[in-house]
Amino acid sequence: MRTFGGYVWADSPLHRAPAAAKLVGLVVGAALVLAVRGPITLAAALVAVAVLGVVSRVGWRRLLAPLWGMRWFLLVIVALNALLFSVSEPLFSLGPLRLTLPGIERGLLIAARTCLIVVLGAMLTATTTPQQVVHGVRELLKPLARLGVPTETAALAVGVTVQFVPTLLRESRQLMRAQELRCGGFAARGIMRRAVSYVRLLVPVFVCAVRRADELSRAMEARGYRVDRRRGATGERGCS
Amino acid sequence: MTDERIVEARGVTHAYVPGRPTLSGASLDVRRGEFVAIVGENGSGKTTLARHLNALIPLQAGELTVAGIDAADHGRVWELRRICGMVFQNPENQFVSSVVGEDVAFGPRNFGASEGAARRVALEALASVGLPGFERRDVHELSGGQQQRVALAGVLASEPDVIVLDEATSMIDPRGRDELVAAVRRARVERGATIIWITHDMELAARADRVVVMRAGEVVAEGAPERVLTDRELLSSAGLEPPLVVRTWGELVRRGVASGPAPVTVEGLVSLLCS
Ligand SMILES: Nc1ncnc2c1ncn2[C@@H]1O[C@H](COP(=O)(O)OP(=O)(O)O)[C@@H](O)[C@H]1O
Ligand SMILES: [Mg+2]
Repeated sequence: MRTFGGYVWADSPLHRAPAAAKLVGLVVGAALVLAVRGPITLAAALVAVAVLGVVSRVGWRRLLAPLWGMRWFLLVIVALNALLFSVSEPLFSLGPLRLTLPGIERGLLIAARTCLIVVLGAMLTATTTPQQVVHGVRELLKPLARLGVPTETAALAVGVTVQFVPTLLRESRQLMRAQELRCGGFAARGIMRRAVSYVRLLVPVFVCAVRRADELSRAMEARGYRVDRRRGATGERGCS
Repeated sequence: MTDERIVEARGVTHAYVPGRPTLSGASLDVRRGEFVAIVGENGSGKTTLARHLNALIPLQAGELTVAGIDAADHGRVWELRRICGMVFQNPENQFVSSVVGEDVAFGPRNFGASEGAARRVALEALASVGLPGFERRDVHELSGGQQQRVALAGVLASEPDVIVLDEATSMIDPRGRDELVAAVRRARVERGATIIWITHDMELAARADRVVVMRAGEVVAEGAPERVLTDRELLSSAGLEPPLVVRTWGELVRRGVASGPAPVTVEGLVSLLCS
């Protein structure tokens, strides 16, 4: 199982930058990419992302991998724009489909923007652990906390959930196999019985998740994690 | 080992549910650098005592100091947790990051180390548990023994004086157990760490300096393994069995082949048989 979230252990300015800054950077970067119109701005954006990519020391394989995963989606975007963008003279037409030069351009531009944003996102997840993302989200939500929204708890819950995804997935697969052995396969049966099987699967997985979350929160506290950094001690918290 | 008492617990009492105490007046002294094994049946309160050592639960009654820090002093809880590290039973439930190096750096970061310092001590700690170069690996790809050593590295990275292991070998295979034992031994030799190891494994307890027996929330006996682990009556009253070597020796004595006090380790048995 590959690392969830795809963090790459390395030391670079991007790894060291605060997660909150990177989250804001991602949003600003995406907005700039969306503002790209012509070949010159596109080239500038490409160069900027390439420079960031080198600085991040993550490796192009990891940064470009998500693009390979969405290659069909990108192809469809280009094709739809190329064939359905019908303002100008078609190069070629077949029924309602009209291949136009501006259509192709537009399709390529949208695909390029999507790619750039995805690579920026990959750069964030490769240089920031889920834990740091959680911390960054918390920093950014601070103004809300002042209004009484329990952002700390929300951020912690997100972190814990993210951390357990691989383990829970593996456990569900094991349980699924056990249930298949005991009461037949999951596939090829009535939809109701399948639904019942899934519920039967969910209950133990949920119970496991709660127990895990409890143990993990204790382990985190033991290693000096403090939900509220202003308060010196969490020792007053009872044991639930 | 010095005479300085690094852990002093007096009459520690704890009830999760009012009126039903899990710990009822447990007392324990541990000297700096000592290796103490705590044994006792399930529900005897071992984990609850360990949680107190780390100030994970509030002290309800009694006194407890670790390296001179009062566990009841809320202002110093953080300090206490740095001085006393914990390795838990289930390796998978104690990782905060799926990347080994990140997980090991978690403690130092929480305790205020700079990013660079946290990374450096994380690498050192991984090397000292025999996992150099593992920093980029995914914890979910490691064996149980390796995972527990990563957990130990995560504790060592904060440079604790005391390391508490709560049934840390009960979910891993014998080879993983031996790897963890070796890594803990190295931490003790190289860093002078004090070890408090809660275990059901009598062979492991036999290698401790001292064995502490708990029953129904109290420390009912303590002493050298040669004394405690050969006392069948005491052990059975605490729901425990002597190590295999002791039982074997008992059988040899009963058949008149051997005589004298029982050895507690295989090495002890061999040297007695060969002498
Ligand atoms: N969080 C909790 N809430 C209520 N009861 C608990 C809690 N944790 C442990 N206990 C109870 O305390 C008793 C002793 O637990 P524990 O200290 O874990 O013993 P040991 O580690 O020796 O098996 C058990 O009977 C258990 O049911
Ligand atoms: Mg226990």
